[in-house]
Amino acid sequence: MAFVQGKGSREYLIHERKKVWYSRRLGLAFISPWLVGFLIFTLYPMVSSLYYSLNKYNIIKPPQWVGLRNYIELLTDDPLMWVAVYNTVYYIVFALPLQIIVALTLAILLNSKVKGLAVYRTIFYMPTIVPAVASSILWLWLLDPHIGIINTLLAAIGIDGPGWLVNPVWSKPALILMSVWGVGGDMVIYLAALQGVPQELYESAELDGAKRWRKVWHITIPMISPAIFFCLIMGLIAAFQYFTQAYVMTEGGPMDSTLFYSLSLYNNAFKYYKMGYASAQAWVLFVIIFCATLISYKISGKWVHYEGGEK
Amino acid sequence: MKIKSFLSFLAMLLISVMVLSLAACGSKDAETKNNESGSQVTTKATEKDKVTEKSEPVEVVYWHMWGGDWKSWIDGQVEKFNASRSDIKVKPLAVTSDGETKFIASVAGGNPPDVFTGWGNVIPTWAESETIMCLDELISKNAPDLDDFLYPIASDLGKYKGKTYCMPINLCPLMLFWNKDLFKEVGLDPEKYPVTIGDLDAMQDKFWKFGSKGQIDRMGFYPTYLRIWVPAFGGRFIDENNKPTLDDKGLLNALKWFESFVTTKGYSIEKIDAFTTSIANSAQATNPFLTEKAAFTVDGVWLLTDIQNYAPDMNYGICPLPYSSDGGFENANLTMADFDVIANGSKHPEEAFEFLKWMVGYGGNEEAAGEFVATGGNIPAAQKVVDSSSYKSYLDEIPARYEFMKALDSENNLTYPSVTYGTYYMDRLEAAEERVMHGAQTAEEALKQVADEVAKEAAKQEATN
Repeated sequence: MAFVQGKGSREYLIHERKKVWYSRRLGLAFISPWLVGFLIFTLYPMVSSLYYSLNKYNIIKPPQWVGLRNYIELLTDDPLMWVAVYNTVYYIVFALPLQIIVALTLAILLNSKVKGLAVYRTIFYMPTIVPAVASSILWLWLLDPHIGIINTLLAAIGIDGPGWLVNPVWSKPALILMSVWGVGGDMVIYLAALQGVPQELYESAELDGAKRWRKVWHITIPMISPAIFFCLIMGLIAAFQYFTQAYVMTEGGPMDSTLFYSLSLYNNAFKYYKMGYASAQAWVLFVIIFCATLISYKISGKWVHYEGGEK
Repeated sequence: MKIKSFLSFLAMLLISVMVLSLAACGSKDAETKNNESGSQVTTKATEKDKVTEKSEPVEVVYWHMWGGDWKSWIDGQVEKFNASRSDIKVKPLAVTSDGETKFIASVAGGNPPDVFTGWGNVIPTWAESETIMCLDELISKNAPDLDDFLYPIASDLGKYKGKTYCMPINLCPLMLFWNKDLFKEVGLDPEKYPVTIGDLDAMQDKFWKFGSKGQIDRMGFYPTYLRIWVPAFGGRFIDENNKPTLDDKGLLNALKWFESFVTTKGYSIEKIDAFTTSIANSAQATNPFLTEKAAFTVDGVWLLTDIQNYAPDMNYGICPLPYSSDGGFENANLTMADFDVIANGSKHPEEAFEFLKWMVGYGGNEEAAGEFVATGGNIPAAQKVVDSSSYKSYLDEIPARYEFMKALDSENNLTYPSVTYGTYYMDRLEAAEERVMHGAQTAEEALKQVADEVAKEAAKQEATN
């Protein structure tokens, strides 16, 4: 009987809405395992850390409301915080461009037709699957000032290598050097992007007499700029959270030269049990990363090229 | 239609699985809450315990941070305790990584182990935050003369603001080791060890050897960890009112002595760092003292076992840390310890305390504790345990172990600063040491900075406590 009425009728609309809600419910039910997990293990901790950041909290005693004091202290009265910010920014400024350049160069080289290409690709990708702690221990050996392979090689060409991780000047460059070792993941993304660059662009450039470098600069890079942008953003976020290697290899030393932001946060939380303060630190880091990402997006319009002109 | 109903069935199934698993987690919490709430419930529980006592022993949950060989050692010892008691059964669990954090989390979660063994500088913070039980009541009831039983320094180690919060079970004094063969090689009397800092400075100078590229091949002595030298310089970390003493003369003298290695003595910090941190010299078996690449070292009793394993032919001597003739104290150690605590919220504190007594050797447990400490290669916290026949035979095995016993009864021993910001204090002191050794600051400047940092931290903690 209900179906006798026309399409515009109230009954029909209710029926339609019911149908939509039914499928929506079904969808929600299906993603509920994830949804529950997200609510409990991500959203709830985030909200509570925001709450704790406004408290003095040492896990055992109930939180004590201190308002914005943690934030004020963090930004105006904690010299170690600025050391940590400096170290982190230093790391980002040098490591991020270096990682992009090396990964891109490797990808371009591995995109050519050479014998045993799959083997090379595997070799360069392999470090990525080594757990961070294991690779940190490995690099402790490589960077060892007395018996490390790096200083042994340097000695072979007559250079007296630095103490690397024990020297406050060289400790950050050592970690930056080490970060280049793990660019395999980015490299694979670039490789995939390179496969998607239309051959006819290169062909027409060749007709115009473009040399290899010009082709890279004017075709390859603009065409894969979305991939570069993606790696930049992911790299930026990862670099702000740089932790494991410093925690395992240097514990922030020598002379706080490798005290990165996340490491200082960890120390405050799990060494000094200042959970409220550490939560405030985490939220400041969140805001910093958010702003950095936002700025990158704003600038990206100028150099990231999307096919079809969409953004 | 059939597919659709199957899909909704599947969805419902998933939801119910999630809900059920959450409910299961929740009910555990509810249980513990029930246990805590209302004295009636508690008395009922204890009555129940009493009834079942004869047949079923009370289970004491015990967490410790020992892994590897140490874990099998402690498991074996706990087994012995369990065999000796029909009324208590201790259940050990090794929590090797982040043990302290996990312990705190378990207390906060309302389901802690009864006993925890740790060794960090945590007692003031844990006492202040009520993570652990004050043991005074249990002591006066079950171990009234514990203070006389323990070495004075062990008794100090257990206290915070005059109350006892932990039971030190193993002490870790440090001694100076010297290599007698190397002494002969450079023309020193191998039996004459350095008594004062001046002696050490003069002697150690003769041993340094450098390679073709200027790298260190052998060193005499190079001090690390400022804090362990502070007692030998007559210094202290806090005063009677628990206030930091960073203008302390002994503290400054100790740091100045450290500084002298890179200034007046003129060793290159970079070469020293490269030498000491190189894996070639920092693994257990490649300790430069064991490979005769260092004439002296400061270490604990465990080094004797390493010498036995890796350098059995070495001729070495052991003496107390040299002291400063400018106001320093002889035979003065910064004493650390492994200690037991009872968690706040422990279900069986009385039984847990029985286990603590057994570990420390109080109340007729000397022999058992002697074996417990000896098999772990540790040093007891009480003279009676040192005198036990089981520990004596352990000492006789390597007679050099007797030297360590001389460090225990010394009245010049010092403990870590027993304040809630103690960890921060020691960390900043270590950072100051690094700055001085790298020539970034003078000893005076560095201590001034630590004074500011620590004063600020102390003020912050006081403001909110």
